[in-house]
Amino acid sequence: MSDQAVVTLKDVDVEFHGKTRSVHAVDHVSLTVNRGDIYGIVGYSGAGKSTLVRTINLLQRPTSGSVNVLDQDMLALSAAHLRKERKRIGMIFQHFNLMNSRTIADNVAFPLKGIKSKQEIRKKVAELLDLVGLTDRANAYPAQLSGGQKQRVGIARALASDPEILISDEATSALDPKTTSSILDLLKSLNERLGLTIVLITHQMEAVKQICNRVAVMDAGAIIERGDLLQVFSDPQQQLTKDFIDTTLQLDQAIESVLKQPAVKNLGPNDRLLRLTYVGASADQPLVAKLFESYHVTANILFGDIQILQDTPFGNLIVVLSGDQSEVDAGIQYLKQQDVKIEDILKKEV
Amino acid sequence: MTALTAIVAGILGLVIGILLVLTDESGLLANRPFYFVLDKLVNIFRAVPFIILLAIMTPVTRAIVGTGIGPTAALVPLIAGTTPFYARQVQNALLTVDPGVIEAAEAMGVSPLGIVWRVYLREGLSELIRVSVLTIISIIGLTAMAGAVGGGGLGNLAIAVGYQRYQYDVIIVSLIFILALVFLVQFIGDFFARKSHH
Repeated sequence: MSDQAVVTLKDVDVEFHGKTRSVHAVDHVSLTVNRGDIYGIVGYSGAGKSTLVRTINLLQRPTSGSVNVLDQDMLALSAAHLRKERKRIGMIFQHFNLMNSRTIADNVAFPLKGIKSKQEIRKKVAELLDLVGLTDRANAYPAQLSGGQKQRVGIARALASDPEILISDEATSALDPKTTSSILDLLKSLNERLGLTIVLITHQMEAVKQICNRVAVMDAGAIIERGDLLQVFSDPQQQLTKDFIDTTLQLDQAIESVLKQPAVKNLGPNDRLLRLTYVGASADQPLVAKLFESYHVTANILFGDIQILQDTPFGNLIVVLSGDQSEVDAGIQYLKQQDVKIEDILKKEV
Repeated sequence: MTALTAIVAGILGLVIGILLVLTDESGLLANRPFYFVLDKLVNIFRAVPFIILLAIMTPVTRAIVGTGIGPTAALVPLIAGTTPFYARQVQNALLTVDPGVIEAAEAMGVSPLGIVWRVYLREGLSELIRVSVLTIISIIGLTAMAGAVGGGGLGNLAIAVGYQRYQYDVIIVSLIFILALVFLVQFIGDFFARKSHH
């Protein structure tokens, strides 16, 4: 990943004027995507994600603001020049948008027709189908493929013109979890092998967690939070972001079921029910052992989840700490020094 | 007469149908005034009953082909009556093409003309064949009607010889030929529509 910006949206605003009401789909959003990024944009349906990314290749013209892609001021281009630039920006879609009247090979060849020779096209199509693992289905029609296979065709087609940027518009939202995961792995490997920059919009934080290095959260047309994946996951600022993350980690369910456990119902006066969140190095420390050794505080782990995000461990524990009041407090201080984020589930303050 | 009408009205209708799709509000070359005028024009011509069109177009026909009666003269109102009908059918056929596929082609940097040629006409082909069959059958019907006012052909034969001279066997034979023609067109059309559908 470099710091070279390939997409720069500045103060982009999109308003739709209907007969009875207007919709402010994108509300003065600025966004920078660097070369090699897999930039995730999450938000619920109607948050404006699709509209926002469509301004990158000007499928949607912004009402105001500037769009700079690969060092081109997109809004200043002529129609013909814009079409040329669009070939450098691939796009894949939720419903694949393949042409049912053409075979898989012809679908992939579609962007190349009239630009390259027949021979070159045949070679390129074979390469691309190999890349997405569909060589044996070259002569099938889209209707004969599964959803995951169709999206692979979509990806191969999007890559035909050797784009530098790939926009993924809810590309995995119509797929089952296992297929979703394999498509995301494919995108990740394309990012690593071809240096492809990917802008991925989704309502599934799960997808962001799996492959993105940066993330932005959108709500009501605005980006309410953004940053490195780990930073956002470990220290979310906005409630919506927290909700997304907790749903992904299934922490909301965990907390609910933990609260029903006898160990929690019969908490002693000095017992504290805490949620511990930690990233990276602190995950390596034997925290629980240390608590008992140094502070004689016992930690009863009711729920634990450790994920590897961007090759860095990211843990969430729900524990009950028991011991003398002063020692529990000292133990909590110790944890804080270790960069563990602590949240008291019952009192909501530490 | 049917064939000539089908060719001329087919080309005109296809062009007008494509223009309607392109200039529609959500079309690739959205153009409100243009669409409005074309759309209303198509509606007006479709609203006029064919038998009346035959009559009121006589001066126009005479100006174009030099005569107001006979088979050649019947061509002009036939084309005028069929073109808007077919244009509307083409428009509806092309609107069945998934807008997502159009968007994908746009995102790939394909020009509007390229999208018409390589996406709309290709993806809408089986639907286009279906509406073309419908239109050809409707032309066969209209031609028979034009026959009644001296347009010649099977319709003329059935009316002028069969009906007016009380030779019902002539009507029956004419009818059988017309029906055979309709079924043949339908059969061929269905075959190609199925073949182009994947």
